[in-house]
Order: sequence, then structure tokens, then C-alpha cells
Amino acid sequence: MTGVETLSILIATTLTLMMYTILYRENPAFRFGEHIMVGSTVGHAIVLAVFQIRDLAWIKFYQGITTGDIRGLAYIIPMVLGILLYFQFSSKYRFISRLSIAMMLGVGIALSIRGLLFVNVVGQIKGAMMPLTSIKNIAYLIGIICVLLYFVYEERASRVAGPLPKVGRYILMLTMGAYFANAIMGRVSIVIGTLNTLLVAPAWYLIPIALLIVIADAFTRRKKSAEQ
Amino acid sequence: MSLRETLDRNYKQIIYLCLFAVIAIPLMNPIGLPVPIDKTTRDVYDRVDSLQPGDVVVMGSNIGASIYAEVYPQYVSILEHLFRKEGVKVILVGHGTEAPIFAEKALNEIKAYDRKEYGVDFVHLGYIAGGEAAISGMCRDLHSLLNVDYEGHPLSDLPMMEDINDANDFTIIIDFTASADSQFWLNQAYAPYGTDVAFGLTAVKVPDAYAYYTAGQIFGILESLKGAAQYEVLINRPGIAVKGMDAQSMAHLFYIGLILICNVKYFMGEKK
Repeated sequence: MTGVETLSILIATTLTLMMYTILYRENPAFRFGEHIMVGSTVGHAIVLAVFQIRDLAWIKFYQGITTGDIRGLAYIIPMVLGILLYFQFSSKYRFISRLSIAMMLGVGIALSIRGLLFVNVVGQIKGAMMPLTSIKNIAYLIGIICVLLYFVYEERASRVAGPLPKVGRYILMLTMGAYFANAIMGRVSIVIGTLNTLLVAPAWYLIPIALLIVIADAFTRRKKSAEQ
Repeated sequence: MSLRETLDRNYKQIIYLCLFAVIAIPLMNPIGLPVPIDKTTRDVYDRVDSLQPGDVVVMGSNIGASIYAEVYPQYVSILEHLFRKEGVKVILVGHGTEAPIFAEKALNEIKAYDRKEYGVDFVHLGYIAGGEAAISGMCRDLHSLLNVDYEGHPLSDLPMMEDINDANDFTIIIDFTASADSQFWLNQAYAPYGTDVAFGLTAVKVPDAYAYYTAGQIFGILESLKGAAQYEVLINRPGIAVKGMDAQSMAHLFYIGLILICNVKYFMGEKK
């Protein structure tokens, strides 16, 4: 391992431990780590955004100027629309930015509507049409019907449906449980991933130091509060 | 002090310390619990394993620091499997700003540049801004959207890219994400072109993806660190995910214990 690699691991570990100090209490080390993370992420994103404008629009526009190709020249439109977005910061001329926002919304919806309908409506209905040859498929169908009935708010229809909406409610509760359990699994996975990097040398050596600092702080605070 | 009074105290820091111990001890001394393979993971493995020379795989990703622990091990495992397949072409593309960093890290981790030739067997396109619009452009006409790869090499100089123009040329797409990007691939590649899609997801996103999996719209799902561990077992390359499975099981037992204790406290309160 080179010196630079060791140094980068130690910096990463120090920042990780700084972030974990929030589990003890709100403190300046956590704030410092948090601001470094937000700052570096935004800085990286800005640089990439500049490169993207250069590669996806500026170069093509410049080629359009040199060759007279109308398709290249057309790249001036998205660039101008992008600049117009900055009128958001002017209370007087904010309305100008709505042009760009309207364009983005229109293009976004137009692009996604066909796929969304195909995937989330047609595809899901087709997926629900399964042969009732196994217990799994039967349970699946009952689940769909009961949950749909739970969302029927018409009183007479609810009376006809009997206990089925209630079954739908329990199925929804089971689903929420699965969501929550998955969320817990995800959070544990994140801790495992972090500890996987912390529990190896040279990162490992910083953990006792961090623990000692936290313990010293706890004792100092206790002593101060006793004095008061 | 009564049991109820004991339970009423705030044990936040102690719980965190216990959780740290419960996770750290199995990581340092693995127990070796078996890793059963889910059907969702097996389906991804079987599809990747059935790829033929000349097939093109697009690996989309939105891996960032926040989902690194869950999704990155999946990414590395799939990449390793793809690099074992002779003649399979791989395109790496990111729709998150941090994605290219982790793609390069994964390529270096599996020694991709020593094993296969860049531009002939694999290409890293880097980050493409624009979300669904960018994915749509990539699926419709890749070369009109993008002229250069991550390092700035013109795509026209990369032999592999000569015959790859749109989503019709993609054999499969595997997207690694924690956000709505996965839906973008379904909307723009699966729906209009019928390209096979699979997801590598964080645990929170998995229940959403099951709706697509059951309906046959995606051919498989890698579920968080668990999915990565299963894939590592399938390709016989145990890594950090397999190592983490013991810790995961212990942490879940710890959580179940905490839930039981909280319920005991709750019912004692009800009784009072």
C-alpha cells in the first residue's frame, strides 16, 4: 500500500467516524464531516455538469457553427433554455424561467407516458392474469381483489364485499411490514459495508482513538453538570 | 427499580454500542452460516450465464456513497461474471454523478484492463446527465447522444461501438440503483424495444420491483447485500457480501430481540 493510499484511507476513516459521532450527540465534528461530504458531492456534480454541457451541447453547437449543420446549431436552444432557468433567482423576472420548466415537464411527460402506460398499466394487468394452477397464484389473485376492494369507498359496494376489504387491509399491513423489514435490512447492510472498511488496518487503529475521545467528552460533560 | 422503570430508561447509546458489537464480531470472526440462493438471484445468474459471444450487456448504475455498501458488491459480482464470459461485450454507463467513480473502482478491482481489451470487449461511457431523457436518447440513437466515452475517447475510435447503435443491439440491461432510474430503463428499453432488463437494488426498493418481476417484466433482482452475497456464492468468488451475511443475520436477531422487549414494555403499559 502506497503512502497516498494509506493517507486516503485514514482521511476516509476519520470522516466516517466523525459522522458516526452523531450517535453519541450533536457535535462540531459531525457538522464538519457533514459539510465536507455535502461540499465535495456538490463540487464533483458541478464539474461533471460543466463537462456534460461541453460534451453534449457545446461541442455539437460549435461543430454546427463551423460546418453550418442546422442540427448542430439547434443545440443553442437547450443551452439558452438552461440559462433561462437562472431567472428563478430574480423575483422580478422569475416568470421567464417557467419557459424552461414547462419545456422540461412537457418533454419529460411525453417521453415517459408511453413506457409508463405499457409497463405500469398494461404490463401489470397482463401479469395479474395468471392461471390458477398453484396456491401462490390463487393467493396472488385473492390479494389483488381484497386490496382493490379496500380502496372502494362506496358504502353499498363495501357492504356487498363483506369481510374482504378487511382482509385487504391485513394484506396491506403485511406488505408494509415487508417494506419496513427490507428498510431495516438495507440500513444494516450499510453499517456492514462501512464496518467492512473500518475493521481493517490502518483504518482499524482510529476506532479506539475515536472511542477514547467520546468517553473523555462524556466524563467532562458529566463533571461540568455535577459542578453546576 | 421495577422492570417497567428499567425499560423506561433511554438506552439509545447502549443499543448503538450493542449493534456495533453484534455486527463487528461476526465480521472479524465469521460463523459461516449457509447462504441460500433466492430465485430472483438465480434468474439473473442463469440469464448472464447463458450469454453468447457477441452479446451486449449494458450495466447502468446510480451507485453513490449512500448506497455503496448495498449495491456495489452486486455490481462487482456481475461484472466479474461478465468478464468470465468469452466474447460478451459490456457497456458501463452511469446516471448518477458518482457512478463513474465506482464503475472505475469495480473495473480495477476485477483487473478488467489486464483481462480484456478496452474498446473491444468493454466500454465505460461515464455519467450521462438528463435522467430518463438521456436513457431514451441512448436507447434510440447512442451515437447521436454521445460522441465520447468517460476518458474522452471518440466513440468512433472504439471498435466495439461500431455495431452498437440503439436498444435493439443491447441483449440485456442490468441497472444498479436505489431510485427511479430502474423504471426509466423499463419505460425506454423494455417497453419499446423488448430488451431484457434486471435490477440490482437497495433493500428499500425491492418490494416495488417484485411487482415487475412477478409480471415477467424483469428477469431477475439482486436484493441488497443479500443478493450480492448469493451472487458471490454462485460465481464462486466469496467477497465482502458473503462475509457480511453472518453479521446481517446476527443484527436481525438483535432487532427481533429489541422488538420483543419493546412489545413487553408496551403491554405492561397497557395493563397499568
